[in-house]
Amino acid sequence: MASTYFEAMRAHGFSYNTTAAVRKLQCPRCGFEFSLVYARTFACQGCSEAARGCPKVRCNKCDLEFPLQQSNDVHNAIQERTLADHMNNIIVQRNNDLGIVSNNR
Amino acid sequence: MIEMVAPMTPYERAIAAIQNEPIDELTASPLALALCRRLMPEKVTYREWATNPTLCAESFVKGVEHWKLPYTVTLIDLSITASMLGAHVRMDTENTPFVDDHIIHSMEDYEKIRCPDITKGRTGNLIEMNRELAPKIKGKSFNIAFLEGPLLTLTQAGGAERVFMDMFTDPAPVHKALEQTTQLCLNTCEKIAETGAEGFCWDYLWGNYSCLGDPEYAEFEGDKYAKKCNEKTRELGMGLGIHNCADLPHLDTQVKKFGVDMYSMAYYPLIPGSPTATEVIEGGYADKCLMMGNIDPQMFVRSSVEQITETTKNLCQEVKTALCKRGLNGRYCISSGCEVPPDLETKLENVTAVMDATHKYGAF
Repeated sequence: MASTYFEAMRAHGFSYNTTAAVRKLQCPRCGFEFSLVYARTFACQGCSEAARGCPKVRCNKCDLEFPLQQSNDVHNAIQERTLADHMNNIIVQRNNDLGIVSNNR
Repeated sequence: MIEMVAPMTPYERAIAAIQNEPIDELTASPLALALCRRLMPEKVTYREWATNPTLCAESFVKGVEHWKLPYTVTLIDLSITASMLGAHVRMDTENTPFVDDHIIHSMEDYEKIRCPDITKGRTGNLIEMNRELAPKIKGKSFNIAFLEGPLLTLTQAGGAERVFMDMFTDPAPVHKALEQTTQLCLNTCEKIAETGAEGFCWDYLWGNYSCLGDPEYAEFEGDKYAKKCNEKTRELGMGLGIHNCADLPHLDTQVKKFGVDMYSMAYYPLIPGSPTATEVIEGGYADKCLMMGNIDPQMFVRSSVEQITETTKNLCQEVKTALCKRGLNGRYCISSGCEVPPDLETKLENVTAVMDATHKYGAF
């Protein structure tokens, strides 16, 4: 993840995980490009794992579920874990803010 | 055909480059901003620099004097407008200030955002800094004020992930918030125009294909909010600039559609599709405005003088070749792709090396 783009964004005040979360990744099966934030908003919305640190992402177009590590911006298991945890915190916080109390649907 | 012209002052060169008139050598203006505080005779910390308008203005003057910069871009950091909306900004002694507590916790929070009194707080400081700076560099360096754009202001204040998710699911409140951030930007722009700034540079960071496609960018910034900011800048008689250090910038929208005078951008060689200087010039973008870029900012920290000189030399040759093929004069400014890191480890001599190398290899 330590490309110069991530460094530039970090200088703007966006953490590595924030940049990785809003940046588009490509589905290995259908080639659809979407961000982790977009996937969590729609494709992962009904899945309780999205609020439990899921290390995968689901394609919004073809529904393929694949590990975050398959994204170009995630190079190892530690980065995958920290990105998944980061996104998990965002989802949990947003669910709490919006009054969504049950993730077990 | 490029004509030989007599030696120019940095300011004359700056104006001529924007207007695509013949120039003696390429303009060079690395974005050395907070780095200029290290030129002050007494130690100035980042926190002092970012919060004291007088020290900040003085340091920019030192930068102009020391490096003969043709352009002075007065960026302090990107948390200024967000702080005005109530986001908490962490200010370390020697680190770029950044937002560490966002303001959006419910959809109602978007509707609670109101344009604040911009003459106070951090925008007040920014206006004051520009007021002190403008007369001191008048006629020496083209003075370009800098501010975060409406969408960047909102993502800084509300958290990028959160705002993006809400943009997808419930855009109406987000638009209401953007109306207010736009007003904040417009009011600040108006006050800064009174200080004597000659140009105004907006940071439209999210015009980036790796984050937003054309329809999303148009809806949440390009078609409405950025348009207002651009029109206001023009109306106030300032040159219009955009800084976007995205990897895949929306060049057609931001350069051709917006009709800017200056466009500062980065280049990421490891990212497929990131446009090189040649591609930018051949793509017709330098026909429209002065393009600025694209030395990797990290080189100013990590490279030796020899390495950065070589990089500048190669960039000058690449740019001059492409400009010549396109029939343009000096419509490309040798600059850093983003701010030169303001760290204490950044080598001041590397900024000097870029200026010297452009003087040597960028001459026509």
